[in-house]
Amino acid sequence: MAASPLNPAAASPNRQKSNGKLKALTVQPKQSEVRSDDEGDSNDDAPVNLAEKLNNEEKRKYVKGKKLGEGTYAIVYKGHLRTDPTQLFAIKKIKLNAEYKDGLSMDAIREVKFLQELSHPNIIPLHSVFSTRDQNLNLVLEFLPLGDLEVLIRDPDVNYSIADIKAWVGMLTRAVWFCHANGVLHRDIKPNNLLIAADGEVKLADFGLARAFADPQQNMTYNVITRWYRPPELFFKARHYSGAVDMWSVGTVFAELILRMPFMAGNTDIHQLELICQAIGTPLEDNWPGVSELEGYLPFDKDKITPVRTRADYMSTFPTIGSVGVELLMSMLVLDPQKRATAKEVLEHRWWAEQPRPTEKERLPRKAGGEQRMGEDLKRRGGEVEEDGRRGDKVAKKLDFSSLR
Amino acid sequence: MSLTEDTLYASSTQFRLWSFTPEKLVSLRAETNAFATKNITKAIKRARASDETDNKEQKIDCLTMEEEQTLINAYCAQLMHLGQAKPFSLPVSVVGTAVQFFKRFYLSNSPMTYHPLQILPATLFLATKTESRHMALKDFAERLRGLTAWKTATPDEVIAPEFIITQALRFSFSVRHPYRALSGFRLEMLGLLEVVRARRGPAGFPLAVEDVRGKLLGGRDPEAWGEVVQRMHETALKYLHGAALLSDVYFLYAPAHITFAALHIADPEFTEMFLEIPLRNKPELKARVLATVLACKVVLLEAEKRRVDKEEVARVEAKLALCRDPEKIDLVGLNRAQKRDAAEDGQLDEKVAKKRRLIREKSARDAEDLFGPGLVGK
Ligand SMILES: Nc1ncnc2c1ncn2[C@@H]1O[C@H](COP(=O)(O)OP(=O)(O)OP(=O)(O)O)[C@@H](O)[C@H]1O
Repeated sequence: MAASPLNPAAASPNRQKSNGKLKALTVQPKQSEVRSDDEGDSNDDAPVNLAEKLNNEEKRKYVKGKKLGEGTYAIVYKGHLRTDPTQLFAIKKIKLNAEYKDGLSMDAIREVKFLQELSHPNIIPLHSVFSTRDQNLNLVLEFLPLGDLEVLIRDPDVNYSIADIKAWVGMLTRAVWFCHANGVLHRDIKPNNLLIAADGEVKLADFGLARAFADPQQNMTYNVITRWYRPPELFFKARHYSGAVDMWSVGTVFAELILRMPFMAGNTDIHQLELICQAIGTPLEDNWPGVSELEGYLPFDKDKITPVRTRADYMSTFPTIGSVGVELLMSMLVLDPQKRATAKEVLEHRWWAEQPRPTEKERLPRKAGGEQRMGEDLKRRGGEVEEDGRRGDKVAKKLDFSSLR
Repeated sequence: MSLTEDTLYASSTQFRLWSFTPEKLVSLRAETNAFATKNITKAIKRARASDETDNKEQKIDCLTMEEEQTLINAYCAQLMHLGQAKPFSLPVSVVGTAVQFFKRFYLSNSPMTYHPLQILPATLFLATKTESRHMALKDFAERLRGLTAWKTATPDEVIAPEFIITQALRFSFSVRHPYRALSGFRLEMLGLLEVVRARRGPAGFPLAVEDVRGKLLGGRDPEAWGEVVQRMHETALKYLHGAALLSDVYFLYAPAHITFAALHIADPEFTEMFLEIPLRNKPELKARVLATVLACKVVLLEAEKRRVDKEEVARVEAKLALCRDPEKIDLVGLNRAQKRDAAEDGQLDEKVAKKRRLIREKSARDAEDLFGPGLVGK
């Protein structure tokens, strides 16, 4: 059955956890407390409760170093353990947005909520969260010094093979499978959210748009996923969708890794939909039953219809991955989300067993240059997502439907 | 390749940070009460020192741990009602999350430091955010003001304690409810009905069909099965939506245990037979599981019987009025002061924020035009 009390770990939760638990909420006052030298508590501010004491202890464990980079809603610093400077971390300080009057922002809530629960080798580990006196939230993340997949794809000095692609797509798919098995949709899968650890392991990051699978009655927003990686159902304003949205993104990342450029790089939403029609096929009732009932669907001009691309078409665009690889790629880029491969199906595909075998993570290609290049490399390009006002919007141009009729 | 609910639960924050033995739970609450008593006594003395009129000799009579629990339980019930009734009409899962936030908050904070009325709306607002039901703070406060008890609530008052709440929650925003296990049970049972009808189990099915028929149904007509399952589901749900949320079971037991305890209340025989299927050859494990389920059932039944004792609550409220932390009454002011400190630190962020707001406003305008009505005629 779906849930059983049979697993001993769960069957006697109280026994095995009492030790950890004691640590969790009990704080032994220290003889001589070392004061944190970064921002925050002054001596006259005695903690008012256990939670604050604990938080202060957590904060004191880490030392914040130089700035590594800056995103829309966070500044990332290099950090290390106070007791062991060789233990490195990335400390992501969520900017307190003075303009946002509604308390903790949705991005921060989502990121913290999901990263706290998800523990998997291909998902960025969140080691700790603490706040500073000025109410800034700090996420202590694994330090991932080797950039991200976008950097590798764009760097002409980096060469990589099918075996390498196989390793990367495999790690990505395992991360997505784990999210979905936990009832979490990521909703922003793209190469620059796939960070690379010191040992070559790919880690899915940035859960600022993630959410739990919705109840069937609950509507979801269609305004998610960066445009180039966004599936057709979201352009048609589907209000109910599933893990299939992430799987489309996985397919587009797979294609981009092969082509070494974005597979479908639309300048506007409508342009993106055109590119999907051209590259994959025009969404119609016969290849996607029910599509015409979606709120944002509009009938396509009869003489502008592209039939769904055949395996031969894909073979000519992606010759290097062979026919089995093409079969796998096509299964993720199916227009109808109901028929799109799930993460589990992808992982069970025979392409993985076929030669060449995926490269071992330690032997995967790495970016040229050092840490300092990071951040500069990561200038965002087209099709950013906006929701709740986050993520600079270069998208919303008025749509011109005439081109589609 | 499959993940069981159990392995997922083991890595959850609910298990890692918010599960306790009964003894540990009591000692945590005692510690919190002692800590608050000490701090508040000091704070009241400080306040008296600067106030001529106050009677400096008057004894400072703080709440006991039991009195704190009386208040917290009463306000949990109020929070349940607030969230589910109009104008919020939120699903029980969202309100249940708010109630657990509220209970978790008071594990490390005393009502003497932060009055439950100050905390209550903020936990509900936070739960709407963590459960993807968020609305603008302004709208939330406006709805709240529609209720007589909250006529004067301002957005600032609602949001002021959010930060201390998130800190007390140790920034873990996920609450695992037992409903999923209950749906799992229902599906499983309806699947078993097919076994009985087909007169043979699916490959690898551990019980003889006759056992399923005889033991689980106890001579009942297989066609009545659906009804039995439905009735059990309803009764269990009543407990999961009420007693389970208001009691301490989320702190003490895994979601699956809570589900089985609720099912055991609905139909003990049937539930035990059902547990028999996977545990048939493991008597020790079965005994342990059953003991846990039964212990949880006791807590649920007790909570179900519990009624808010209005007189006692009123007495404790009156007592609380004399032992509140004088330095924590103006949360809005405290919050503003902290934000001011932060803003001084982050002058630069202001500019960025302003720019972002402009972009946002523009994109909101453009978004309205997107797929404008004239173009898509539906
Ligand atoms: N775990 C990490 N290890 C090392 N460097 C990191 C890590 N996380 C982020 N960085 C660096 O910090 C920068 C900012 O990261 P952040 O996640 O805040 O924003 P982003 O994803 O790049 O942009 P946005 O938030 O706008 O989508 C990154 O570009 C990267 O250089």
